[in-house]
Amino acid sequence: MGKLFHWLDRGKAETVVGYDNRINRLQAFHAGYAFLSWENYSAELCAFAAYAVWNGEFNAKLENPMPSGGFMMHCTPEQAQELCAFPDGFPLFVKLLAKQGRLYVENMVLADQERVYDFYFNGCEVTPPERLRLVFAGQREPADAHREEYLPEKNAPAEEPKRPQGSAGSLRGSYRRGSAGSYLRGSFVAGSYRLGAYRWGSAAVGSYRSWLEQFSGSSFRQRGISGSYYGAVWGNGSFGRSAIGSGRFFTGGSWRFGGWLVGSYRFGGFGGSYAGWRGQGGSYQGFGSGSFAGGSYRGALFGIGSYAGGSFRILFGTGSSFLREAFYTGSYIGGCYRHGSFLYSGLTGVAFLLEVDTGAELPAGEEAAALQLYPGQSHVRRLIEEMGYGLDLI
Amino acid sequence: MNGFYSLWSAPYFLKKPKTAFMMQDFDLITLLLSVAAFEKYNGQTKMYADEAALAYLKERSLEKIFSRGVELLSVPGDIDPAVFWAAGKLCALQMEQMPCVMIDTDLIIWQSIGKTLRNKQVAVIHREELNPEIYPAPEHFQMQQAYQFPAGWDFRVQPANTALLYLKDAAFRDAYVAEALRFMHSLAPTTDHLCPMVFAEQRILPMCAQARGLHIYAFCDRMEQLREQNLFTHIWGHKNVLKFNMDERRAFIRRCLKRLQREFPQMYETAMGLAEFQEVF
Repeated sequence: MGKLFHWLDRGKAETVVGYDNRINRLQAFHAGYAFLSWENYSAELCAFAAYAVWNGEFNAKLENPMPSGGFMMHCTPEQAQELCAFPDGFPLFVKLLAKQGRLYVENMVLADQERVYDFYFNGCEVTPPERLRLVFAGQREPADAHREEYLPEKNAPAEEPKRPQGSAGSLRGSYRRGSAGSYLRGSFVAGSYRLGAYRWGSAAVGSYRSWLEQFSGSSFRQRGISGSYYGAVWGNGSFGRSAIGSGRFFTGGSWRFGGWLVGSYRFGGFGGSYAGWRGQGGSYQGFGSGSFAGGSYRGALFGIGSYAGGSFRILFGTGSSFLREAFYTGSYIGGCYRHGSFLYSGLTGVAFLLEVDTGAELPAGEEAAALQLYPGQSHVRRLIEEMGYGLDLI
Repeated sequence: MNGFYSLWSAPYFLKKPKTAFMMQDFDLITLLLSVAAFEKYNGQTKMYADEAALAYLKERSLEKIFSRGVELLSVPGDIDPAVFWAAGKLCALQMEQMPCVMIDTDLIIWQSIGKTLRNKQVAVIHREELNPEIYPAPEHFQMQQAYQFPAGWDFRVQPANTALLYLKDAAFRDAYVAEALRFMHSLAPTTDHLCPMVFAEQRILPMCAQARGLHIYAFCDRMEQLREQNLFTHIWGHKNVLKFNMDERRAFIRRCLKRLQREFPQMYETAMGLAEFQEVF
């Protein structure tokens, strides 16, 4: 069992009330991905039946582990059209609730880069995607960093940070923290990680090299301006459609993304340009550093950039962003970056792509938009009142 | 008219080993409402619970809500709780005195049913469609060699949902439970967690009844009638919504508490004495 979410466990010395209080003060964090498709959209209800993939370790800690199906999300057909243009998973954020020492999901939202959507369970049927491109945000910051970021009250039980480990199918391995340096050392199933410089990845992922980096959890944290990355997935400074993972790029060069970008990426250097994100022609002109993370971004020292039709501005110590009509602000240096009320540091882990054949068959002409559906034609139904009987007699 | 409930903790522990047995708040409030309503409109109740479930009830002084008390439930150790998750019901039925009404813990009966059950031998809440995905042909089941389905069974008979089951006759009860247990003991190990259980519980019953010439009365003949009736509340699949949708869950619990307060003040006091409901989140 992974240990990335061990901070959701009740500490040995922690009382039930103390645990409940600690959990109930947590902000929402990233815990899974939702997959949306036309065939699961109802123009009549203006809603998606969504297929969800949860972080397994997180899910196992819940009193009622979340299922994959049965979730609904409302949006206009126009928004649906935008969402369906992106076939991969959208990050799901959950706000937890603890009651009598047991963990429940209080509520959930799906995060697009510009909006958040309420996401709730009503038991509706969902057709699983034919092929799931599961993108695991996987790793988070080390446990001690979590406390700083997620528990501002610092009332978490004192426990030794545990070694991060990949979720099932993700990175696995061990590492050793350097006592004086800003590096960790270890090896992974899919690669190796060496002192000073390291390589990481696999044939499916590619490799990274860096110097003077700190490896924390599965994210890469820059330590000092001399630290740098170079190298990328499948190519020198360019990403194919399968650009995944987590990286930080300090370069003055140009980076191009052929398709989409998931996971967490931080960009740095002067004058670097980043184009083609999600194939939408979005670009980022960076000073300092910034990152895109599956539709969110993390703050930077300072920088000004444009971002997929909107723009954001980041200042040292605090950050704010204007992404179309949405406005977000928060602080992040040395802490966390908040996107509205949601904490995005959970996205800093290595993202990991796994293609799974679910065995489901997509109907031909999937692109037949929900706009063309007649009322009642969609299989998506609001089932909340249909799953028991006589409920109105109570 | 006596009624009884049962709680078997073994299926719970399969999912949550090394924990203490507990009922979720929506399950618990439904049970309180069910017991209160049955005792008001129909008669006395009893709970059959295994050791862990009994400890859970006693820890909360909930054994007192059953006017006929609680009794230790015993389920044969070789029955797989993953496959036969409702075997506890049948074992409790075996222990109960006839005539009686077996009630699921998620079923609430809002009116007196005594008059309806008069002169009935067997009654169930409703019949089920013979859906082959849920109720496959007998060949679907991998049975041990010695097992033979009784020759008198007609596999075309509609299954009967036993969320509520009334039995008048102990001899028929014995025959039904014996056949159900024989099937459970004789099924080869399987990962199918649905079909064997509903076969043992809901299909053997009507086949046994028909073989003995007993008519089964159903409160609802068609599923559609369930939506129109005002006799029962069956939480059934709505439990999934209550599990994963906290807003719905709170609303449901508040509604149940209000109903208790309005109609069953004594049970309301009991509920409010429980930590689960002192603060509805």
